[in-house]
Amino acid sequence: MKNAIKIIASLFLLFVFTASVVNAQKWQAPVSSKKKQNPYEASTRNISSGKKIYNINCKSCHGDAAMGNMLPLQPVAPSDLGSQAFLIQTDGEIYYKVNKGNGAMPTFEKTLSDEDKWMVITYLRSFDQNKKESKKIAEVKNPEVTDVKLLLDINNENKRILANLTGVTAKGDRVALQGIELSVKVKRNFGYLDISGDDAYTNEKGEVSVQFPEDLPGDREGHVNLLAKVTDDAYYGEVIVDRIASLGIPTNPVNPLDERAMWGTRANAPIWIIFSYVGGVICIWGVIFLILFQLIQLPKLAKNKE
Amino acid sequence: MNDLQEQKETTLSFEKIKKDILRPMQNHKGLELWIAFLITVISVCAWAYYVQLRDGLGVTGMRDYVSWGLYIANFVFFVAVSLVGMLISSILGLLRIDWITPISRIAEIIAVAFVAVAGLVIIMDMGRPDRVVNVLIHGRFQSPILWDITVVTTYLTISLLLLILPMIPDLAICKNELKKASPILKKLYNILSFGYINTPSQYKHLHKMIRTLMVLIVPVGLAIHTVTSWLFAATLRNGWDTTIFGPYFVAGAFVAGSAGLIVAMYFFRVSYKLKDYITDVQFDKMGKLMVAVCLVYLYFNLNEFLVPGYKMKTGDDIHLTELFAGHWAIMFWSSQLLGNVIPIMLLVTKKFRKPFPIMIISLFILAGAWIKRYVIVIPTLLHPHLPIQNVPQNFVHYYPSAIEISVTVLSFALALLIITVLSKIFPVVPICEIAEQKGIEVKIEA
Amino acid sequence: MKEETSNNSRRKFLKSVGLTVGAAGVVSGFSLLGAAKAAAQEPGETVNLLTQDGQLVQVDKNQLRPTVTGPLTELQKRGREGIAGKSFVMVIDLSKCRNARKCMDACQNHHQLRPDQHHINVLQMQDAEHTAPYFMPKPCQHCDNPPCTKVCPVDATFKRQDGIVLIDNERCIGCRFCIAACPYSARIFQWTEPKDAEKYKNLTYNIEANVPQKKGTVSKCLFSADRLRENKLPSCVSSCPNGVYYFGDQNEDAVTNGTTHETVRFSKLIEENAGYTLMPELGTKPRVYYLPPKNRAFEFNGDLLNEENLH
Repeated sequence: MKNAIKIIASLFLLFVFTASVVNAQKWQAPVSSKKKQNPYEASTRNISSGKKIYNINCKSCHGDAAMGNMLPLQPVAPSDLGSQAFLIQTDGEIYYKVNKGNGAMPTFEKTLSDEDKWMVITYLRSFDQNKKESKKIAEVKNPEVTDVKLLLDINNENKRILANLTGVTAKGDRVALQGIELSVKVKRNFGYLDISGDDAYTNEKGEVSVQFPEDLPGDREGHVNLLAKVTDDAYYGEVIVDRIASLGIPTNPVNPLDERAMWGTRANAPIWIIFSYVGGVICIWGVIFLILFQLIQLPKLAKNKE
Repeated sequence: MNDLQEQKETTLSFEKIKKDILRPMQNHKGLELWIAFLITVISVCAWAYYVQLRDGLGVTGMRDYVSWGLYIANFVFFVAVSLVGMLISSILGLLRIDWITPISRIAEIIAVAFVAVAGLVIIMDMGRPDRVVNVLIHGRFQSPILWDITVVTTYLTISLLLLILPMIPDLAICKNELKKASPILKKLYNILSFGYINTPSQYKHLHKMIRTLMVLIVPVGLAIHTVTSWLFAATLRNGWDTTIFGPYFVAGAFVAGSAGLIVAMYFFRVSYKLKDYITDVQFDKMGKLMVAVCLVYLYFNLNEFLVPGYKMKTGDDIHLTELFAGHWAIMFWSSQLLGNVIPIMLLVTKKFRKPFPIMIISLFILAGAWIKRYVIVIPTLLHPHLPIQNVPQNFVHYYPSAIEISVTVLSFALALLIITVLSKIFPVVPICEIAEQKGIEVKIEA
Repeated sequence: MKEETSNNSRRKFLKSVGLTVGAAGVVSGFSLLGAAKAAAQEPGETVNLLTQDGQLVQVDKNQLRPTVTGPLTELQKRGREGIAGKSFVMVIDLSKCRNARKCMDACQNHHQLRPDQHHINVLQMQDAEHTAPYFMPKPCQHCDNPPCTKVCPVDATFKRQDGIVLIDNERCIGCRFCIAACPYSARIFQWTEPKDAEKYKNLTYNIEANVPQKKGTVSKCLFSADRLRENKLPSCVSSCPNGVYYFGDQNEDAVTNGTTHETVRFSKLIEENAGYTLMPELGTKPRVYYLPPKNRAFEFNGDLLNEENLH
């Protein structure tokens, strides 16, 4: 009897498992989609921009590419998009799936531009073991450096932030590092607002110039907490610098409780309503007490025969 | 007819008036049984309230969407009926209309009983009645509830004064005549008669106070029902979000109050054998008054339903369709037809203004008035702006639970008990005023 | 030999950390007295404490005294004041919602609610007969002209300086006027003993999370005000798997997506996506903005489409 239950249970589990596997494998992109080619080259810039888009749109479910830390969703867990099992598909197939979505996978047909989608595919392809030759073609060669420094020069006049990335070569010279992507961010309450723009790669002087948004509020004095870093830690480890700068619009937070309002607390009640209430109560109850006072004088009047 | 009446009246003497009116206070077996019955009902139903206190308001049929139910409908009904005190003894009294003299005290007794119970009903509806004192400590001037509580207590106080003050001469008579009354009652008569022996200055003084109170109760009476209507009109809900709710409620209150008074008049006339005092004239006049207030109420109903019904705005359309032809149609139309239109048509003929027919009609009007309040409170809550979803089925409908009905019975029994007790210990018809009106000399010994 | 010592010391260190964690829990209701006072007393046992700025300090037990004000009054006071300088707003992107209901679960978990009690409720909407249906998460709108706080007779529900509308369940009298007044049906009532009432009986009431819930009082969404104090996003926002919610401080003109953690300009987000508020004709001025369900991430898979489910 026990065995029978076990067999049934294992059969059931097997069924569920195969069903889910079948289900997972069922999602096949049509043959016609296979041929589509990625029009963008696998440059560092494209991979980096793909990673950004991936982190915003894909990471919350799929986890980090090739890390296997996806959300454990039921009945089908999201695939690891950096795994070989996934990357066996052609670019066209991946493009199709990103566009269409299936079940818990959203459709990105209209929420992401074609370029963005291809950037993500470029990024994912960089994990492909079978296409190693296309991985990270660095456009500029920087010398081996130590003591990498990121300096910020802030121009309050025209609200420009000039970031300068340098390192010390083996010879002991401090040289500019070129073609490295930087991120410049402004601290907000629950996260960092990226203001670096699309093309924040250091030039031959190791510089990136970022325009601070004209109308972005700071604190009461206009101070903002700026943070600049080398986007990819893979190059020089974590290179990060933060700075308080008065680039923001000074804000004067309005305390909604300063005004008297109908919705306010009793302390903030409109004056006229306080007066009406208190006045009304005093008048009516004043008369009532006057009458009560006269009432207790009624017995005295019994002696007055007039 | 009039001649016949006057002939009859001349046979009355001061002694006879005293005897007739004081008799039921001394010797009335039925009354004691009735009081015992009411107390039994109250004690049984008090258990239901205890269960509600213990387990929370979840024992009622109310849920998150219909969060006001039977209790609030009852509250509005009680407040409405209590307004008769202001209508009869104050408005008509100030206009020096003399046929109200024998029934003005009954009107005041109803006012006191119903407004007192209305205050209790509000507390019965509260989730945390133990915190009622918070209203006094933290009361917000912007909230209609603070105004409502203030106005209810003020109206109760003035109504009590308007009950007692005109009764002072009668109480002085009670003090002298009712030798067999219990010591407590004697003491009560003694205190409340304020040493009144009907001297001219006492008479003048007393009537000045009464007239002041009569004026004072008019704004308070209007306020009590207007503020009650604001409990609904201050919200943004379809069916409540209307500007005529104040006068609409006041008009409805006059209808319900008059009906309540007619029913009470009939029972006192029969049970207390007061045919000579609460005569056909009073019923006839009350019938005419009823037609008048019903017409006013009908006019407000026309405005209240025709105007939005003509436009059928989003939100209003569902609400009105449900009222006119949907789930609430039977209740809505019975309250409009049985409680308003048909009574108007019947009461314009004299024979329906005879005591018995008008009492039956008034019962229908009262029932209609209660149903009207029910369909004011509940349907609106069932049609919020956003759909009701992801909640159990019992959130989507509202049916009062047995506990709720028991607590309702409790409040009605309590109101009746207060009326009965007041009419047991106080003369229900003013002895001295009747005598004065008939030109009979009033003699009160010291 | 040398290695062993270092191992030993590491173990010791771990042990002391463990002790610290334990002690911090116990003495949280105590405050530090001045050093001068402590000097007068005999040195006794010491405990490790975590100070408010996150430093671990070793303190003489004699220096510890129960705090003068009870934690409840402190919680009530700061809960009523709110967070200075902030003006919280929420943006709900209807094009991303697929009715996953993770927000509802997280919210009910955070605020100790039963499955049928909603501080946030995902509704299936259809605005008119032939318009497209969509899912709409509906939290409290935290109106700037709140009809609910207008009618409260005892200041139990009120608006704070950071824009959040809260309820004080230590004061609420359960009249349910606010429920009647709210056009968004955002409020619920504890009709019976709340969920796990016995379990949380001894918990100090936290006005910013409205826990433990109290029988006979009103409850509603409060933007997880307790989490905001720690710069954490509200429970619903951070539990959404589909990037529906943005939340942030309007004074900073920035909102952060709870799923992707992307921070964007609030004004741009609203402008570029034609953001709107619910029932603006009522004049309630909500703090919750909606982005229309255009270019959806998911196909609508609801089951409504008949009159009965609509109202």
